Amino acid sequence: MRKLQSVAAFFKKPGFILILILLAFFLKGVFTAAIFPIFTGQDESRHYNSIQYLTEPKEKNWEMTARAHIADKETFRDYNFSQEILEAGMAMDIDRVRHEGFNTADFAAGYDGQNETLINSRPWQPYNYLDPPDTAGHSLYHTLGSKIEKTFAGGGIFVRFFLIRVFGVFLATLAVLFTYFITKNSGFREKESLIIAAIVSMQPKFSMYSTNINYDALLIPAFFLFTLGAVLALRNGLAWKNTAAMLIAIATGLLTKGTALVMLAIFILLIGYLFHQKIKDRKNVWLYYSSAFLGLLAILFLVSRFTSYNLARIILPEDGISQTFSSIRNYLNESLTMGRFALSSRTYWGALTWGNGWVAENFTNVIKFIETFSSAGLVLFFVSKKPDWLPEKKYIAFFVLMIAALQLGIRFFDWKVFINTGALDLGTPGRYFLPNLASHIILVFVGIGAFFRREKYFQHTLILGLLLMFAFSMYTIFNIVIPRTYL
Amino acid sequence: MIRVNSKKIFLSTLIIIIAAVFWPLWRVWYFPDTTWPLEKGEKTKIDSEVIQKFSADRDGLSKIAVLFGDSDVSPGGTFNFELLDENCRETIRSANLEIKKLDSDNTTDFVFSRIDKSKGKTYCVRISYAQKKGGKKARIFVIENPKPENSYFSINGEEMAGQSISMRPAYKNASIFEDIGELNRRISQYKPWFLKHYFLYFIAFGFIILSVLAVSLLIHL
Repeated sequence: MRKLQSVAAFFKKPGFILILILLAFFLKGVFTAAIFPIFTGQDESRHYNSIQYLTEPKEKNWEMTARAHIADKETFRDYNFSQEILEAGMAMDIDRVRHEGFNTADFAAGYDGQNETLINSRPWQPYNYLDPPDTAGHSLYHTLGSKIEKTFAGGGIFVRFFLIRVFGVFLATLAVLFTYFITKNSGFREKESLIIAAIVSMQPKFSMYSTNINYDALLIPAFFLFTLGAVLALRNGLAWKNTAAMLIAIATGLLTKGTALVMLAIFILLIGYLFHQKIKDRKNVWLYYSSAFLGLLAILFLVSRFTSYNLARIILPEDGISQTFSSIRNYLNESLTMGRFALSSRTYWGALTWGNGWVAENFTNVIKFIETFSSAGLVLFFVSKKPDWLPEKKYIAFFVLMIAALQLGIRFFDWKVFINTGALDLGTPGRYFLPNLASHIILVFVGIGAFFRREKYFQHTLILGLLLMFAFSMYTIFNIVIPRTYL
Repeated sequence: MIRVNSKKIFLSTLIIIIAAVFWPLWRVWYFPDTTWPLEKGEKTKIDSEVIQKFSADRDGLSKIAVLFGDSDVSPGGTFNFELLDENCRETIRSANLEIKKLDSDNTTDFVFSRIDKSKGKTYCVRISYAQKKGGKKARIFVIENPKPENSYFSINGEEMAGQSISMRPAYKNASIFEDIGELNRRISQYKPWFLKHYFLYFIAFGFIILSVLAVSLLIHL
């Protein structure tokens, strides 16, 4: 009997449950990586081609064929990808899988596809013969992917491609781990921190997107790490550990994707806030502020000088003031529509509308209702005395700042593209907002929790949220993705 | 006073969710014969009926998936579907399907109870459509006949030699275990060795079991 009790106690240990959540998430990610056929992720073939392009010999001792990028691509072959990607894709009839929503691959009877033996015999080179190659640039993510590609160069394309997908799942698992520490360090109790980490791990889009070969796979955990560093800084003041976490996150982010500039901006604000808290009561305050201002200019100069981000060019308007205002007005008219908000929301939560499922079509409406309720709760949270079991207001204000900054940053870049093309070519798909998933989920539940006066009810709400996310996550995998792709 | 045990309620909800997600799968897992091409050919209105004879390649015929043109059929109507014997005389299975819209990016599925011994037999599919008042007629895609054993196709009473509707028969295995096995084989294709067969079973069942366990423990904590 005592033995049984000790086993039960072990199962309830937070460390055990955390490992369970991480392991479940990792296996789910690997399974999700398996159910999406090769090259069917968002921009995946282009990102994989970027990795192959980095991996191929620098000295091109093969004949290149000049072919301008085709604007309206009708088939996979229209992309300037490596010979291996193009031929393997065509051999497995990728057009049928990618472009015909009603169609699936032509399945063989066994465990190997019709042309799998041919593809695995590696008759094609992983080199780009078409110039200029179709790539998504050169980022830290592509460099890391290239290391995997090079290490497993002896394996077939499926081994290399899916190992890079699994690498993305590993990075996302780190993000779930960071979520746990973010919640715990911002003042939630152990149980609540575990539940919130589990909710994040079951968000369908996060699970699906982290399996894609795409630089966001590195950007998202970088944002989570930054959030953790900032929460620790708000809690303990600036220390080498939390500053290092934030700087590593910013550096990783900047070497990956421009979205990371949002982290840099918040970092500067945060440092300013903590600095102000420290020196506000001292003499000669202006001296400290002047030094801080010079320090800020130095940081901006260093970023502009030693990275590919020309901050002055990014921030300052290219046209006159009146033209800038006019383009902002046009942009807002085009972009701030109910249809675009709904699309962002659907693609953020992973509500795939393949087929005619009621759940997929209405899930985001349920979420919208919860979020509206929660927004009112957040207002209540800030204007009233907070319950003991919710985090301090400074953490919640920081999460709101993170959400607002990323929203502004993405819409700013969307507007920049709009100025040049006159169209919403970049757009605001929901996946762009996933870097703030942990902050977002925390805010939603704090907003709901603000209405309760007893912690027990708050915990019940968290469990309900967990069940809802678990249901939708399972439903998406088994009732939408698998039937669409294999049945 | 009745005391409500919240943990029991949440665990019951978890069981209901698992049942709600997985139970329908046993009913909707049909394996379409993917050697049948689904193509968007020429759209033709169904004035009276469509008749298509085809030969089943395996046992367990359970569904016919048809690709219709995305005509605006609002406010909708009803498809009358019949699966008949080779001579189009004796009805073997039938189904009525009420629709509000037609979508050419998804098939419309006529589902019926499994026919155990269907392999090698020729069947006759008859589809008619009755639109509601004010609605439009449904349109069907007509494509080149992909299978020589499809011996007959007619639309609105007119035989169309060498042509066929864009459709795909689907099959169910005799047991759920065979269905899981076939799904595993399909997912395994064009995957590396570590995502095939037993590895795939391990990963799939591993994640389901661990996820359920994690949620259960969090409820119990």
